[in-house]
Amino acid sequence: MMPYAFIIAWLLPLVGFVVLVFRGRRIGEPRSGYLAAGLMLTAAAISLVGATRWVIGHPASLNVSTPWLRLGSQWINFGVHIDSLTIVMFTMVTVVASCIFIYSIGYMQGDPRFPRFFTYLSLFGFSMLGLILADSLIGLFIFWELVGLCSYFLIGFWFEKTSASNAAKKAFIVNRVGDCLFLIGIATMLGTTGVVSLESVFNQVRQGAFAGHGGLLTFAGICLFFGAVGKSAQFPLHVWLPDAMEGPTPVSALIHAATMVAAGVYLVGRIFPLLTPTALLFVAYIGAITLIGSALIAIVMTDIKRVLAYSTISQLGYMILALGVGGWAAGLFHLITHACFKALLFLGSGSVIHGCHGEQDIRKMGQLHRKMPITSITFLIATLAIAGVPLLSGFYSKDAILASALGFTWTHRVHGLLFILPAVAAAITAFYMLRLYLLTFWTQARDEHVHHHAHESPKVMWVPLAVLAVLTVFIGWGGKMPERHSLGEGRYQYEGGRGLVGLIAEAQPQWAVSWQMQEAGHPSVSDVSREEADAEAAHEEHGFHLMAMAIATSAMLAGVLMAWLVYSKELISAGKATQVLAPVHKLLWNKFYFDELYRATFVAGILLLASFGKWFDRVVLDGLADGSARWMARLAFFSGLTLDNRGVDGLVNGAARLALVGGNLVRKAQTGRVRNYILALTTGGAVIVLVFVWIW
Amino acid sequence: MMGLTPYLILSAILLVLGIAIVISKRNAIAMLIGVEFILNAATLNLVAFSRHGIGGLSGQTAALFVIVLAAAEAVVALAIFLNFYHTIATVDIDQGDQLKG
Repeated sequence: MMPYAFIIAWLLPLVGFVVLVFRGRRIGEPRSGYLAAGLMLTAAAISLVGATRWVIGHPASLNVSTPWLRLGSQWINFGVHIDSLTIVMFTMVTVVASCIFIYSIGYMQGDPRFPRFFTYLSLFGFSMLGLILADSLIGLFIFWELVGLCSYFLIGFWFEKTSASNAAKKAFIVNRVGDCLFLIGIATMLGTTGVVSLESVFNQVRQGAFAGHGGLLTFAGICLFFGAVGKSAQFPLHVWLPDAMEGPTPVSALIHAATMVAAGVYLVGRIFPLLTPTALLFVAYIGAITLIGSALIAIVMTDIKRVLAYSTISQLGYMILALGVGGWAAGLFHLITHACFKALLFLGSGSVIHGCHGEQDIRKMGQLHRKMPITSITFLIATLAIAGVPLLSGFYSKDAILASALGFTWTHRVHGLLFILPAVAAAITAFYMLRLYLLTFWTQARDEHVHHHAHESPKVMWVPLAVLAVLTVFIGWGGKMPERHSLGEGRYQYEGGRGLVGLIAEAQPQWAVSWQMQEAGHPSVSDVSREEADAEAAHEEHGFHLMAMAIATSAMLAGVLMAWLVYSKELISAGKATQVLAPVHKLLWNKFYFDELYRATFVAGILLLASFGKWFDRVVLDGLADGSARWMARLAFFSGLTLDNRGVDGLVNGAARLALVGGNLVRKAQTGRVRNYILALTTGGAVIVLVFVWIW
Repeated sequence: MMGLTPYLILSAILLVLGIAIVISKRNAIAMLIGVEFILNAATLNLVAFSRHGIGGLSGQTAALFVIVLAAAEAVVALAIFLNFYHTIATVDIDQGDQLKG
């Protein structure tokens, strides 16, 4: 019963899409919005009921699948896999999407392509939910591409703007890089294990499908992870996400903050048992580099949405880092809380942009608190949550991540950066978020025009803000990380979890190729002594939690204090700091020159390749074609002029000329003079007579 | 009595003369005369052979036929020449090369 309820909820946005894609124009504005939002709300209601029943019943994971296509002798099933992570993700996506759909009805009011917007949003909802439900690598990949496609459509929704259509293309192409590697990873898995269903792949790997080929498994894991690097905008494929802010703000909130970009983290969570220690270390470092780099860039950005975009990248880096250091539940917990407060931040920024008539530059805002109080308050709640103020959801999840990182670095001192970087970034996060909030809502108005015309958004827009704000506040409450008990042979049991994080942790892989195992060519064999150390580490986890909490809170306080001093008290002049740190500022302002770097290397390289291709085409291929044509022409001339004209025609003409010449020759005898004829006659007669006489 | 040879020589001279006339003369009448020479050379041969015992009297009979036919032929030829003269106003045989009446 349960899986079918979720399948129905999954298909509802598809119904919306099909109806809107054919009848959208007829349905028109605002009814197309009501339809899409209504269907999404229904899906949210179904999933909430389902989630409640799940929490009460605590069933094991469920699978429903149907044979789909045959690959050689192997049937590939298409099916859904439902465990507590699926439930949580599904509910989060439907609820956040409902808020954003409703908000969009207000935000997109008066847009000439209003129905089309909801068509795309519905398709996205369907694809995203499909991605969550998918039970196989192939299914994941299909919906993975579908959400990428919707992202492309929606970033380029206002395609009249060159920047928007370019951003859409950039997002799509950068994602191709990651997806290409993702596909290679899938192919490696399929090629080695011969199955695609996640469950079967895990079993195969556990039974030693990669025995003796630990390197290959690491390679496959990193390839699969690169799919997530592309989608979740991690270094070095992060460049597309800030540009993706060209799309309408609800899109930024739904796709580029709450759901699609988090799909990468979800993917890593799903394939977690396939990642070898080396691959996990790679994942962790990618996350750490991303989270610190983008947090630094966020300090200097002045576009309200770009600050949030870099903040999103940074927070995604946190999640990736958490997964990399083995904090599976912490990373996915942060995914959920982040989805709520980042969606809220984006919707708030959309409300600000809407209220300021399209102005996005925070240097022109200020003192908007009085003009738009609801937006301001909800924005502040989300800001504090992302900064990690205690009792707000972001605090719990970030603390969980830092605890995992600390626990990991405690046993692996070499990788100390994996804790230091996120701890520093926590302070930076608090600083730039407070900066954003203060500059937008608090400090004195710097642009009279913008400030004068600013107004609070309509109810249809602020109600979703309020709902998300409530979620942001309480979603992390009552959570308790479950404790890990080793069952031996690489199996673990998690017990005693409570709240949201406990629910998520129930889906945690029961056996994991964890840090504590040796790689040594056989990743599925556990190492007993390591496991003991692991158990020891689990005991210390509580201590790590307290320490991490203290560090995170003090980092947050430092950041908040700094921001308050700079932007509220103005004890430290931001302008002067910019001057003093001019080279640093320039570096950050230019986003570490990544775009320039890629333009100089990959883009230029491809252009070079293209011009070589052009040259090759022009000179070699065209040369071959032209040359053969020229030879053909020459042959044709030869056959036409020489063979035909001279040979064949010569033969024909020659015969004619022969007849002519012969005729002319014979004609001379035909004088018409009787005397000549007679002479000839008599001579001939005489000759005959003479011949007869002489011969006989 | 003379032998056969002088007749044959005379006949040959007559024949050659006739041929020469037919070949060299342009006048139709003169050509007709040349033709008569040739015919008479043949007739003389026939008669001479008949007289000297070759073929009995058939040679002389043939000679008679030849004389009659030559007369008829002269009539036909002269009729043609008259028409010829009507058309071209001359009896010069070389002008009659047009095959058109």
